[in-house]
Amino acid sequence: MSIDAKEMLEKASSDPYTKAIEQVSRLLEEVVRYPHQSARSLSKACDLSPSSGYRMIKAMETQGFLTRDGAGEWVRGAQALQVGLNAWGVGTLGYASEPVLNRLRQNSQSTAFIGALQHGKLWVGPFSLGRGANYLYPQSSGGYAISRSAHEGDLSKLSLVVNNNDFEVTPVFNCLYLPIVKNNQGEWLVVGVLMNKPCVPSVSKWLLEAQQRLQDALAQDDNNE
Amino acid sequence: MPSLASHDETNKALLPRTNAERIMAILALFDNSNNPQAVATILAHIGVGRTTGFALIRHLLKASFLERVDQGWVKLGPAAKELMFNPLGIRFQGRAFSAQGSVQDNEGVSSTIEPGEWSQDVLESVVTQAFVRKPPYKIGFSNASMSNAWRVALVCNTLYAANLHSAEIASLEVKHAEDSPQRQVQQIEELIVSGIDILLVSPAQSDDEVLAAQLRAAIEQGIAVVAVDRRPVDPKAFVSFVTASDSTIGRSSAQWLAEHLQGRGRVWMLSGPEQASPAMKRQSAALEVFARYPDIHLEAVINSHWQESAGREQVAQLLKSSQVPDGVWCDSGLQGVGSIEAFVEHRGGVPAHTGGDLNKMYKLAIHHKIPFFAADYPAAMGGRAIEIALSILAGKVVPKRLEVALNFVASRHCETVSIKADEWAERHVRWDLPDDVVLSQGPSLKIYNDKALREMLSGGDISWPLKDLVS
Repeated sequence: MSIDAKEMLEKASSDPYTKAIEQVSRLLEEVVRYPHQSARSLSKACDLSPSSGYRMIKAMETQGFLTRDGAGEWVRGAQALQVGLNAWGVGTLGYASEPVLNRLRQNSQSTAFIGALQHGKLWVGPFSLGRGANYLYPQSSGGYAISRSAHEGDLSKLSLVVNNNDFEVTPVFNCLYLPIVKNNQGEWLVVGVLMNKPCVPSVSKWLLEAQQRLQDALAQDDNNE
Repeated sequence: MPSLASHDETNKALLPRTNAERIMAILALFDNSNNPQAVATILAHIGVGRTTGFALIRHLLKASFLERVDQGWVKLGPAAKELMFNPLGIRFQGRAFSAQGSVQDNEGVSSTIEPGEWSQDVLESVVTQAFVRKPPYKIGFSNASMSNAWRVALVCNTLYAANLHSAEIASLEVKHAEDSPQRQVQQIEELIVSGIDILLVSPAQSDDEVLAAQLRAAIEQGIAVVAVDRRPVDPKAFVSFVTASDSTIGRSSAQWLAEHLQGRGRVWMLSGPEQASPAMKRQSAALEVFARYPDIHLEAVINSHWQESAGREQVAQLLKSSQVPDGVWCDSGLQGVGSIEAFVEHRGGVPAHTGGDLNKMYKLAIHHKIPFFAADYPAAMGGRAIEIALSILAGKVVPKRLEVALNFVASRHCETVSIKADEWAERHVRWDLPDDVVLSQGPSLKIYNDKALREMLSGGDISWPLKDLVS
């Protein structure tokens, strides 16, 4: 790294606005990367001192950007999810996604998700999963390239690959999905299940139900407006 | 230029103070459809001057959290879209990516689970402009009672959430009605007279018409009502209802028991009290499932209190005139622990049980190696009710019914064709915590053992904030 570049980097990290954005981003990324039971361990993983880390985590918990799950581990909070869905133009799905996805998971015995199809990629959004290796869960936000798509009756089927520039592209898993709505940027929002095993035969029934419920939620919002 | 002069003293205290808080406030400002916002409006909202405000916006644009739409107008950008990625409160067993591990062949095995009830109001939303108030808010909570550990956990979680949002809440008055509808009506009257901005209510009796009329009148006066755990029968008597799916609890636990018994056997049912709507919904969903199995014989269907002593007495009574059954369906561990203890004392073996919630239920089931299934009813809904209340007072659209997620828990090797566990009971149990802890209370589990808090929870009505409340 040249001296100029290093100086610029140091200057940027000393800028209070850049620093605050970086810290908020890092905390939001870390909680989906690794489970942390304590604010101290989460702060450490984000290179924050215990005291300033604690203050920031508390502030983020108060604003709903971070929360603790049932096991006491830090996860992204409802407000973070809401901001993400708002950015896709489907914020109405915020409240509906939790009961719909949990029901879809429990009935289909597969990880259920709401996602967005954009330029040959599937961006995975809120998801709901069960126990252990019989269930898949997405590793990071979006970034799954679509290698193959096909149709099975009413359902669309995708083969997804990890979109990681550091590795060879390797097929990873399949998913079944149904469209919910096209947003104002022309992207399709979908509801689906991830598969690493044959799905229960009734999966299409549960997917159709979830699609209907989510579409109803959006229609309800339109009526309110 | 928007200035701080537009904010009164009260609102000033609520303005974000640090850059991190301002960043979150800006991101939360955009609506469901991500309609563009004027930069001037954003700066007025977060209450900062032009220099700081424009610098923040510029850096958020650079980090792609915002994108420019037009001169002076921005909307949420690609980095904000990534915040959509979020697990919905389901516990991980580890977060390493595992695409190939333990693939099970389910081919040819069909789930027999039926769709069951789906509440139409789960996706209905409510416009709340009529209830907008200025913070800090006075909140009243009329709680049916503190008669069992789950209700204590509910209040504990509610207080935890109030602490978390202490900048917006001036006071939270919690009154316990001791399961008396008349007492509850009187207490709600007192809360309204005291000038509360919003009322949380967990009715002592769901079909109490006097209570429903009182709540409807409160709503007409502009005081929003949020029902939590239990709701009045009349949907006009509340604005929003925070709950979990009782029919899922009843249906999944009955399905598990029927499949565990391979569709054949003698079953006793111990439900919660008749006047509690969750108990009746669970029982009715379970009865529907059992009705599909002609060789499952229901020998006893009993409504009891959600208390250990009630479960013990009823099972002991049944054992005087009957042999040990093949399974006991309990809608909660609150009476389920008494049932297991009665079987242990009887020394005739302990049959398969359902019913979670209480730490002791898990301890007993594991200790006595009992085939076991539970869907914990989340006490964390208390905190969610506070969040909904704050949303209503801020004029946001809220759901008519908010369902908090349930976890399926089963003892190891006891899954059935249709019912798979989200977690093993052996991992869910907390041997380090007391028997009476309700495990589904989420974040407040951390403070549950605090001495000052325990004393406060056992000491009758609560006025928050308290000096001694845990930080």
